[in-house]
Amino acid sequence: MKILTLTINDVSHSKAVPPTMTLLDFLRDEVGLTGTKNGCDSGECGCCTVMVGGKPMLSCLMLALDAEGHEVTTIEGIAKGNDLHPVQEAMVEKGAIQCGYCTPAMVINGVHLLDNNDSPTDDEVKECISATVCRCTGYNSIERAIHSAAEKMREKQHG
Amino acid sequence: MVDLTKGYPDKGYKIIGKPVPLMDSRAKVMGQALYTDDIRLHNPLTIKILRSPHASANILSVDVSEALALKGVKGVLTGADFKNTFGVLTISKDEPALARDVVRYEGEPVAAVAAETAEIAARALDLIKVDYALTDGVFDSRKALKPTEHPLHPELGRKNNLHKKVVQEFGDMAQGFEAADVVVEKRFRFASINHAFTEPHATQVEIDNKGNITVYSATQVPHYLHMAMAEVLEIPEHRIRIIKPHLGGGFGGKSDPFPHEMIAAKFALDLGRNVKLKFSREEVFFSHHGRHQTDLTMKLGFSKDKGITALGLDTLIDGGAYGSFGIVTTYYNGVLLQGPYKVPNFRFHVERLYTNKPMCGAMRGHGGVNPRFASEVLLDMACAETGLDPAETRLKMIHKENTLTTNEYRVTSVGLRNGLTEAIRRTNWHDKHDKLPFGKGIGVACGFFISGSALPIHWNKLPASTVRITIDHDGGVTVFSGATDIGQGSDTMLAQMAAEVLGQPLENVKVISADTRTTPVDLGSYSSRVTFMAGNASRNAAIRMRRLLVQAACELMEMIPPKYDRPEPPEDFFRQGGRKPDFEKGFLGANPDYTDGFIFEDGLIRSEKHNASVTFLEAVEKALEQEGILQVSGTYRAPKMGGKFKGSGAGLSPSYSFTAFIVEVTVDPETGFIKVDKATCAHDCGFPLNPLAVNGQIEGCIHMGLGQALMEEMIYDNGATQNPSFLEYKIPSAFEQPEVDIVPTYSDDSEGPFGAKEAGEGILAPIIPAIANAVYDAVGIRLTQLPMRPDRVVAALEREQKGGAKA
Amino acid sequence: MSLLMQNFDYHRPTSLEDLTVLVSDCRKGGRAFAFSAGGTDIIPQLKSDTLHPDCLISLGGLKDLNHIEKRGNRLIIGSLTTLHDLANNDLIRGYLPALAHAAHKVASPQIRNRATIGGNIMVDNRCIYINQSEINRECHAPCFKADGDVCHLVKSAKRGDDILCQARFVSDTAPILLLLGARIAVMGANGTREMALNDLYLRDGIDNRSLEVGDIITAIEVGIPENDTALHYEKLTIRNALDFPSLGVGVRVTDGAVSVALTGLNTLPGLFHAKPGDFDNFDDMIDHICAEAMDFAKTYNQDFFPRHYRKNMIPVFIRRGLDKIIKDKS
Repeated sequence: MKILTLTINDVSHSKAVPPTMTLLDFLRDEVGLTGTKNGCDSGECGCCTVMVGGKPMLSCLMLALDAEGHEVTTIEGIAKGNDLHPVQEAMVEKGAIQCGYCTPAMVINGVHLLDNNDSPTDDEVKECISATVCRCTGYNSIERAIHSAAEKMREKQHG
Repeated sequence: MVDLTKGYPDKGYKIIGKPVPLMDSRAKVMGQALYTDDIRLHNPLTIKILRSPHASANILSVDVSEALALKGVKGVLTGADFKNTFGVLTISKDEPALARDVVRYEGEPVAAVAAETAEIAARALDLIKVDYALTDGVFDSRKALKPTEHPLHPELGRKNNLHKKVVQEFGDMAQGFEAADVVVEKRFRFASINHAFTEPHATQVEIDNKGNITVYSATQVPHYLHMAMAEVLEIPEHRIRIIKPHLGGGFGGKSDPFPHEMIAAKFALDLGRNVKLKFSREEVFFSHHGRHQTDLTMKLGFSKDKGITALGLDTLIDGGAYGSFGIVTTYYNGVLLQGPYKVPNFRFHVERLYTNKPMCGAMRGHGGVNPRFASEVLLDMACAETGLDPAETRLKMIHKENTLTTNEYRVTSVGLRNGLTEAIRRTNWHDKHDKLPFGKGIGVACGFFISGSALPIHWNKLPASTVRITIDHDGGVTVFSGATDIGQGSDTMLAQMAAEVLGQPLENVKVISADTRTTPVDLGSYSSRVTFMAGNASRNAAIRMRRLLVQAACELMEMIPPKYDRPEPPEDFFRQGGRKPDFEKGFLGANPDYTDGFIFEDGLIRSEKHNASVTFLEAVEKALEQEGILQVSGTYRAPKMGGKFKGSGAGLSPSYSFTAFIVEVTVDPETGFIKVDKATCAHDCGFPLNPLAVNGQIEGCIHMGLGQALMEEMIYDNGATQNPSFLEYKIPSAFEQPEVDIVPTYSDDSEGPFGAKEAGEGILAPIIPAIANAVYDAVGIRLTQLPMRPDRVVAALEREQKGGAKA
Repeated sequence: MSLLMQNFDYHRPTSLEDLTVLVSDCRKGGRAFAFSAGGTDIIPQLKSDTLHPDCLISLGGLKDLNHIEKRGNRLIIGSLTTLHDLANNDLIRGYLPALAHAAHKVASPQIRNRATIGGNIMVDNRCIYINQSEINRECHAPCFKADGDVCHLVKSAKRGDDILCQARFVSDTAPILLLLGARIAVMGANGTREMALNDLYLRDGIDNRSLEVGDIITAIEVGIPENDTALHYEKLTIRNALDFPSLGVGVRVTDGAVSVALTGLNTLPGLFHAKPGDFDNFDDMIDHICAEAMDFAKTYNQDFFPRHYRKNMIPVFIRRGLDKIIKDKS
């Protein structure tokens, strides 16, 4: 066991963890942040996507100890209190959520894209969700939501 | 902003027909929605399952002593611990919770361990010693037909591996083919495919101090699980409570009771401890229950004037090791061809075989998808041979309203003709079909599906669905339903029903669903039954509630309460339907039973006639005076219907949905890659209750159909699952999904709730043959094997170039 | 439930000196160790128990190995540079756009944010009979790469054979790097040495790299090609995301000479050259190089696409790469 200190959604957590523990298990089982999902545990479904050091990564393919020193943002850290992030808002509004199992990962993907690119092309939007499996929506509504959020964020920025 | 209500008639509803985000979206988008594995029970044991590494073997012995001796292991179960087998169908309860004496597929559960930690459970699995004697397996449905001394299921008393054989014949086939201008025939082959829902199976069980258990499980059908579990565990149903938490996709794959659910419950009961269990992705693929691998030969007779004159098919479906829904699948492979066109002479012969592979069961479009592919491709061939336009021909052939099919299904509402007409216009079909350059193509196909199975799987006289509605003193409306929201949005639909009838904002309606302790029996989410059946029940309950409130309001306003023509409207009224329903008099959809002179809106109950009103809350308070609680139930029963022949119940539904796709593709003749550029869909779901949700179903069906069409397949090598992962089982990504155009299409179903029919399954089937027909238009090849992998396209093109286009 | 890994000790050195000490300690103690850079290749192996080190050495703390710099007409890429950074780096995009493109074609955005270029050129060979769970490997009988006694692709194979295992080479970035004549810096027990990337790859699917245990690649060095050179990487996968290459073809054109590098088609990458003087015309040259490439391909049914198809696509992808280069030039 090693002591891991990790800042998750702006809160610091210190816990003793075995080296074999993934970041995903650390988040779900040690910290209790169950919004991040485990759909395959092998890096193939994308449902466990969280931001590590500001970039989307697969928490099932990362040892918890390897995250030391990076800030981690999970789905629980995206909304500000009751105020949804524009990507979240648009996902709700555009019907981009059915079963919802991929939703946290889709939100993380979308938020990261728009943080770095306020007017993404169709291909860039597809790219950012291309390796996160959604079996319900066919992706179309998720793409619409990300585009719509981008538009809203641009409007807000340019007043 | 796109107006999703555009193109549909305005019926003056406030909530019905409006695009409404699903009620649980906010919780899901914040990561707050709890799925089964997210629940945190007090100090649970972790369960792990030991699975057979052999597809076909006898179990000589299982030694669990070392595992039991490991510190932290609390219990080990083997096949000997379960007496009763089970299955979703009462007529094929052939599956044990843990294998006894014999294993029939790779991955079959053989033993299970409950331990203090997952690590200990995993170590314990390694300590269980199973002595197997390998036996010859059967991995192919044709071989499974051959005589054998050792069938997978000797209890059936057969000398081969046949599970179920169905033959039905209507009309005169010989005459039908005689009357045809052209007869086309082909053999088609389909790989087995998996639902690939994102949430792996999971179950947790909580036990109380009296030995009652609460089972949290990712299931589509809590009610069937409830019954099966009581039987397997040999305890009364009332000691078991099934709760379905948020569910990460089902598509039919979570509609059976499963071994792991029995194992978890038994551990909880035996050990008096809470337990938890979750599958790896590989275990999901082992468990499978997906679409059957199918080998199908179909023959279609077609006349330029009369349309289809005869349709015959011989089909083998590979069921895998156990029964699951397979008997239903066997029927559906035939009967679902009775729409969307009239088939006057019809024969099908379907056999389901047992093989040493993971079992197949129900998957979106259940049983109807593969034969639909065949019939729509053959119809396209017949059109090509007779020089008819395949879209216009289909348009002419679609069932008329209020007709009986050859096998005596009532076809009531049909809204597809307008939809397909508009799709033809929007896509510029006539400028494109047969006119695009080599490599570009356009194709059409239609489909047909049930809106719920009229007959229950477990024969009983209870309503098909019952919904309870209560209103509290605070005016809050709660809908209690056993229907299972699996992500399709059934909770939202149920709330819409109640909110519309009671004139309440949607936020004021809460839904408690899929909990066998608190919600009335509903048969669950399968066969596209929820909107039609639970929806009607919710609507009917709300109508009853409304009457109580009108009564109370009248008392407060000192008015004589209205008399209703049909005091118990829906149920009895539906029964009048009989075999030849009188559609003229108007059913519920067209003529709401709550046109009683009162209007519920803005928190008021207002009499139109007397220009008087009371508040909703005042009426609630008044209505509460008598009993102290305000509670009603509403039910749905399918009307009596169906022919008087054996197997006439299969595919019977109170209503049917209709779908058409026009698909545009680009085919790269060199690499064989098929790119679906655009899919235009017209789906008649009656009156769409929530266009946002309907559109989501359409786009989702396109995705899943695209997967089956182009890349998805379960690959087995002598019974070993070769691709049990999302890396090797290829699900289309966002890049492969085409542009989608949804043509507003509707009918007003006289028996559906507010005119609605199903929108979740029927859409899937026709997208696949539409792609195949577009490929033909693009490069002139008929693909007869799914998935239409690039290598198969290249091979077919080579055959075509050599002159013999025979596939 | 998560897939569990066998226990290991974990170390995360922050300097190459610490790393050297760690490696030497492991050696002395007779402890098996494995390196993990981004971990995206090794963690699935740990979870499926095809790799079970006593000690896992995470390289993530070696900040010195994460850099891209230009020295004269050469680019030095630290081995811990992530594929995302490589694909988006201005120097790479400017001087080696084909390498940026190839890096971008690897796996998925989330994986590229974590996976490194060093990891990608070291990515273990794959086969449908090894990249499975233990139960699935057992169902077929464990193969050589799973410490068993059989190859399910070449049934006649036996221990002692020159090539025991047909697990295929799947790196997406290697073809372009090979076409650029990349060299790698390797740090080992006896200090740092330099070698051609091409010499890294061996013919066997199990013993598939020429590094000694404990060696790590610290940097990759690539010459910036002259203006008369253009490269392109084309990859065959059924989906435009996530998948390893069913085949990958790198093409280089330098002043009329054509080179081709292949991935996904054999236990190691292939590299072929042809120059105009040796042929009657351009088409003959391309036919020749296509034939050589097809000859090199040892395709087995170990991938989504059947073997013949993959083989037949080789010339198609070579010609498409050339067309792209020619089109981009004009």
